[in-house]
Amino acid sequence: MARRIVIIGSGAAGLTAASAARKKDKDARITVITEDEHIAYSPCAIPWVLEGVSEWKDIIMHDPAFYKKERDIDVLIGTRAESVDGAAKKVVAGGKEHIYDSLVIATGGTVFVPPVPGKDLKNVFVVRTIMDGMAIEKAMKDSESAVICGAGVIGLEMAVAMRNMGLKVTVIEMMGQIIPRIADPDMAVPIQEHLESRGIKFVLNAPVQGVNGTDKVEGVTAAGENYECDMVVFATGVRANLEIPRMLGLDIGQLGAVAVSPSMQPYVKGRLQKDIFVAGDLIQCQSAPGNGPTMSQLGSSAVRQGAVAGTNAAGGNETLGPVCSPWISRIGGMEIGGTGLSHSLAEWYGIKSIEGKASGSTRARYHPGGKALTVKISADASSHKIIGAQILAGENATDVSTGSPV
Amino acid sequence: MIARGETVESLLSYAENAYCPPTSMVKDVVLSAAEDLRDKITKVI
Repeated sequence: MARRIVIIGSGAAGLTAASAARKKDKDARITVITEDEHIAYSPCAIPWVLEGVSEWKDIIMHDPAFYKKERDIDVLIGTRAESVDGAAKKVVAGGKEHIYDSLVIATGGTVFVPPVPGKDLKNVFVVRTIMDGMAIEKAMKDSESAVICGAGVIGLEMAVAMRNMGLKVTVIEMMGQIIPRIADPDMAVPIQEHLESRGIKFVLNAPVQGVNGTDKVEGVTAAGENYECDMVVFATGVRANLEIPRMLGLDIGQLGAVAVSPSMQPYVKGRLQKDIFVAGDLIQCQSAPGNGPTMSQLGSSAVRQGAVAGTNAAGGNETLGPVCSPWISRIGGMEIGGTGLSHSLAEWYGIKSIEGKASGSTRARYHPGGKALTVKISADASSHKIIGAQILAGENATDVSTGSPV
Repeated sequence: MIARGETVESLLSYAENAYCPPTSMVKDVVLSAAEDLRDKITKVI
């Protein structure tokens, strides 16, 4: 009898798991169950569409018909997994029962919205799916001003997109710098100054206290001040979606995410689950430089995790080692990225970090048109082991970072 | 190199042999940052 593999979730981890499972087992019956109406798209590209650089159709790579025709994978869109019974190996979704031999949970994360008054008013958004993006796009047409809550890379990319579309934009951040935690202040400040020069206002050290308005948003209160706006986007981080893991009683780690083995298998009371695999934004895995858990929550990590989960769900024996979580973003014409630990993350892991830094050009001195380039490398002060690197460039940061040996 | 647990010294050693001739100043900036880091570590020691 063919192996029955059920995958819940259609993001990078879920669909990669499905394809990896097919590659491993040509005969398996593979079913992907997803609440999303769109699959196989890049959420990172949503700001680009809002800015008019791309169209929605450009960022969707495949539809369910492609997976059926090319890989014999059934993708059930708009279908919620209502319950999972680990003992009966059964998922109930859309009123139908799906029996599995192997289950992959790739339900990702949910944008964390602080529990403040007014958070459910009309014109308050998060940005996670294409549906979110389309709702924001519609509201932008009738708005003159926006507040972005959260100055991480997603918040900044949204701020740039909205500013470029003519909105007055204010970014409110509870920490004392933009791109907190993953970028050091000296690498983040040039981005902030660049965006300020383009008309984006920043309010730092300002926890959001409430969203104001009657029928719809009229402003945001943060650190005692009111900031008027027509719409609000919360980009305040992503929390693991634990609804299904909790149905199965899976162990939750210290970061509030599912603890998994290198084979992407979860635990129940410390006991490895042999028929269940978890991948993507809802797991915590081992940090390579941090010597502890980390939530990578990057598409690149999700793909690697999904490949291991899918292969193993189909009978394979793959593992995923500790991760460095490389990230990169183009923000308003500048590019910033990093890998490993920032100074503050190193402190969180109890590591004394020392950093070296140098500046130059993105091109050889004899090649005209180069832009400013700054590279920072961090090491553990006691072992001298390299624990992180950051890059800030006017162009080509991706090429530089992939070309660098770090 | 992070994943392999390599040190600043091994990065410098790698980088010294990694480019010849340099086709871009980019490698120089990475190398300069590593040298700056080594100097700071040396001062701490």
